[in-house]
Amino acid sequence: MADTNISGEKPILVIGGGMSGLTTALEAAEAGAKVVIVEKEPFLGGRVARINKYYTKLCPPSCGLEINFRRMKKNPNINCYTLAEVESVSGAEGDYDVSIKVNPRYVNEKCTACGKCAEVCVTEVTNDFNLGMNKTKAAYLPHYMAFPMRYVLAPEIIGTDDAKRCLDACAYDAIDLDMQPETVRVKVGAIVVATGWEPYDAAKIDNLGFGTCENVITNVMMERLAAPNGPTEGKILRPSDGKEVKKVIFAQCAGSRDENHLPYCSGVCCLASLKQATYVRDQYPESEATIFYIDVRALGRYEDFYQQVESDDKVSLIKGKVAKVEEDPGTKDPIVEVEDTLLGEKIKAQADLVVLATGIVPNTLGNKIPVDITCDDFGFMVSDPEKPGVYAAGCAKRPTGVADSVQDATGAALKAIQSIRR
Amino acid sequence: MADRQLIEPDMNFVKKIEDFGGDTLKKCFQCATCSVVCKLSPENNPFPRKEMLWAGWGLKDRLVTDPDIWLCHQCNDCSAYCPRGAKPGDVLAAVRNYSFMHYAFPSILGKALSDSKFLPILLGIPVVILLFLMGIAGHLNIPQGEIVFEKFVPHYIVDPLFITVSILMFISLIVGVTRFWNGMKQGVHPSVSKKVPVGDFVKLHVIPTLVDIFKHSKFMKCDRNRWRYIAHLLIFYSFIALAMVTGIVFLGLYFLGFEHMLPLAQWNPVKLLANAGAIALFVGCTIVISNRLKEEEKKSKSTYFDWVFIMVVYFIAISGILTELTRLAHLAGLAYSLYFVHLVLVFYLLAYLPFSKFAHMIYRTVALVYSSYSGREG
Repeated sequence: MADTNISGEKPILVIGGGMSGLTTALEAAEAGAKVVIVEKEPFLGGRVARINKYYTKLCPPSCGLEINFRRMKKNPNINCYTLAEVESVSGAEGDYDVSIKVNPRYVNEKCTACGKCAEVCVTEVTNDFNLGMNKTKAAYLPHYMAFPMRYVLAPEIIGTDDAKRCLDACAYDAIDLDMQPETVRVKVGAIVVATGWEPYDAAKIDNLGFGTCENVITNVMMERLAAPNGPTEGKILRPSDGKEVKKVIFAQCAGSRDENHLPYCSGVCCLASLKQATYVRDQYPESEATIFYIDVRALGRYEDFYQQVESDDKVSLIKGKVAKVEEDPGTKDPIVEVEDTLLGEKIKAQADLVVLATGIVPNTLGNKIPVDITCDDFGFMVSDPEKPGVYAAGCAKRPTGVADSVQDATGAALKAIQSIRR
Repeated sequence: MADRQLIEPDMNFVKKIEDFGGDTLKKCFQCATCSVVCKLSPENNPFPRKEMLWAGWGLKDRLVTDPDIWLCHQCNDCSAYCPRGAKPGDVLAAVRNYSFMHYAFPSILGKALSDSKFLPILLGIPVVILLFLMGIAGHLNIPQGEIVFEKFVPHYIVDPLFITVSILMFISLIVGVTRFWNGMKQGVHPSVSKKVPVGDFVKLHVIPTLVDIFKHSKFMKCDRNRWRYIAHLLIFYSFIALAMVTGIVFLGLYFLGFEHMLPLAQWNPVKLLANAGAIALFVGCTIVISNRLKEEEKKSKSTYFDWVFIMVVYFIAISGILTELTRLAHLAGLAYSLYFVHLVLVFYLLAYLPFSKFAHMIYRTVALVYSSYSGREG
C-alpha cells in the first residue's frame, strides 16, 4: 500500500478493530483517507462479534458486521493488521512514526478455512471468543463469521507433534510454522483510539456470588450462552448441570454506580438485561425473568423497548438492588436477597440462573497503549486540545451502546480527516 | 385515598442529624443494599433504608419513635457496602444521639450534653459541689498518716450526694423512657392493643431480651468487627462487676456494720472483683478507642457525643486504677488528688446518664423489649 493517498495525505492509525474502530476506518477510507487498523485479536469485531442480538431491534451482530466487512473488502484504502499491537508512537500531529508488532498466526492467506487442521489437532485451549466458557482446538477459527476468515494456531502447540499434524493435514500450504513476530513501521498523520472496553470483574463484588455460586454469570456471558455460535449453541443452559433455565434473575448495577467499584452508570446494562430477558422468554415459553433494579435507565426512544418488555406478564421488574447472593447447596440454585423498596419487604428469590449486569471498563484505563492520551478519573479518554491528532471513538471515550458507538466513531473519522488535511 | 398522609419535613431535624455525625445522609439513593447486608434487619419493613429516607425528608416524629434504630448495633456492614458512601450506620447513630436529647428531661441538660462548650460547666458542677461539702466538713487538706480516703472525703458526704444524684437521675430517666414507650406505641410499628398480664410481659418479653443482652447475641451477629463485640462485652461486664462491688460495700458499710471495712485487703474476693472489673474496663475502652481511630477515615466517624462518653469512662478506669496504685505506693498527695478526679468523673457519668450516650443502655433495652412485645422480629 502506498504511504499516502492520492492527495498526499498520510494515513490514519485506528487502534482497535471493534465496531468503533471499524466504523472510523470505513468512514475515513470511504472519504478518501488511507487507514491502518491495528487489532490485537485474530479477528475483527471485538465485543460486538460476541453478542447475540443488538438492542432494541433484536437482530444478530452479523447484521452490522457483515456490511462493514463487505465495505472493507472493496476498499483499497484500508490496511488491517490482526494479532497486532502498537509498540511505540513518536512524533506529533501530521507526522507520527508508529511501530506495530504483528504476532504470528502460523496460518497464511492461502487458508480456505476448510478446517482439516482443527480435525487433526488434539490439544485444546481456552476459547477466548466465548470468554473462557469452553475450550477450543488449538488450531481454530475464532468464530464462524471471523474476518479475516482464516484459522489460527495457538502458540502453545508450536514445536509439538500437534503443529506437525496440522501442517501435514493442510492441503493448501497455508500453515507456516516458521512465522516470527514482525515489526511493521508506518508513518501516519492522525491516530484514533478505539480500544473499546472490558466488563467489570464481577469477582470483585464479594456479595454477589460470582465465582462462588456456579449459576451466577455476567451479562456478557449471557450473550455467549444465548448466541448460536456460543458454547451451548444458543441454548440457555445453566453452568452447574446444563439444565434449561425456567427462572432467571437479572441483578442490575452489579458493581456500577457504586463507589466501591465503578462509580458511574454504564448506561447500557438496563437495556442489555431487558433484551436478555427476551432471550429467555423467547426460548422457553414457560420461563420467568425478574429484573431487580435501582432505576431502569432506558433513555429517549429506548423507553418504548422498556415498555414492550415490561408488558410481558412473565417479566417482572422490581425496585431494589440485589445485595446478597447465596447458593442452595442441594440444587445449586442461586438465592438472591433484595428489599423491594416500594413495598418495604425483603425478598428471598430462588432462580436457576442469576445474571449480573456488570458495567463497562475502558481499555484505556491504566495506559495500556503507548500513545500520549489524557483520561478522566475512570480511564475514559477525554479530548485534550493540547494533544491534537489523537482522538477517541466509542467506549474509549465513554460507556456507550453499539448504535451510539457507531455515531461517535463517524465523528472521530471526521476529526481525523480534518487533522490529516491541516 | 383514605391512607393519604401529610408529610411534614422538619428541616432543623435534618440539620441536627447532619451535625450529629449523619452528614452523609443526603447521598442515599435508596437502593436498599443496606437493608439486605444487615444481619439484624427484619424481613418485614427492614431497616435502615427506610430510616435513610425519613432522615433525608426530616420526618423526626417517625424516627424518634422507631424502635428499629435501636435494633442496629452499628457493625457498619451497611456503610461498607453502601454504593454511595451515605453511611447508614453513622446516620442511625446520629438519630440515636438525637433521641437522647429529644427525650431528655429536663431538656436543657440534653442540649448541654451534646455541645462541647458546656463541658467545663458540666464538669465544674461536681467539682464545686464536692469542694463545698468538703469545706463545710473541714476536709480541704491532704490528710496525714496512712492513706484512707474516708479521711479525705468522708462517707457521710459522698454517699448522700451520690444517692441524691442517683434518685434524680432515675426520675429523669423514668420520664424520658415513658415518653419513648408511648411514642413507640403510636409510631411506625404500633403495638396491637392487647392486654398482657405483667407476669407474662416479663416472662415473654423482658427476660428473653435481657438474656439476649447479657449474651450479647445480637452484637455477635455483627461479625464484621469482632473486636467491637469483645470490647463491648468487656465494658458491659466490667460495669456489672463494679456495680456489684459498689453494692456490696454499701451493704457492708450501712447494713452489716463493717464501718471500717475500707480499704479492702487485696486478697478479699470483693477487691479481686473490683480490680478485675477495672482492668476489663480499661482494656475494653482501649480497644474501643483504637477501633474508632482506625475507622475514622473510611467507614465511620465518631462525634463529640461519642468521644466525650468514651473518654469519661476511660478516665474513670484510669483514675480508679491509679488511685489504687498510688495509695499502695503511699503517695498521699497523688492518691487523694486522683481520688477526687475519680469522684468528679463518676458524678458526671451517673448524674448525666439519661442525657449522655450511657442512656443507650436503657433506651436500647426498652426498644428491644418493645420490639419483642409488638411482635417485631429482631
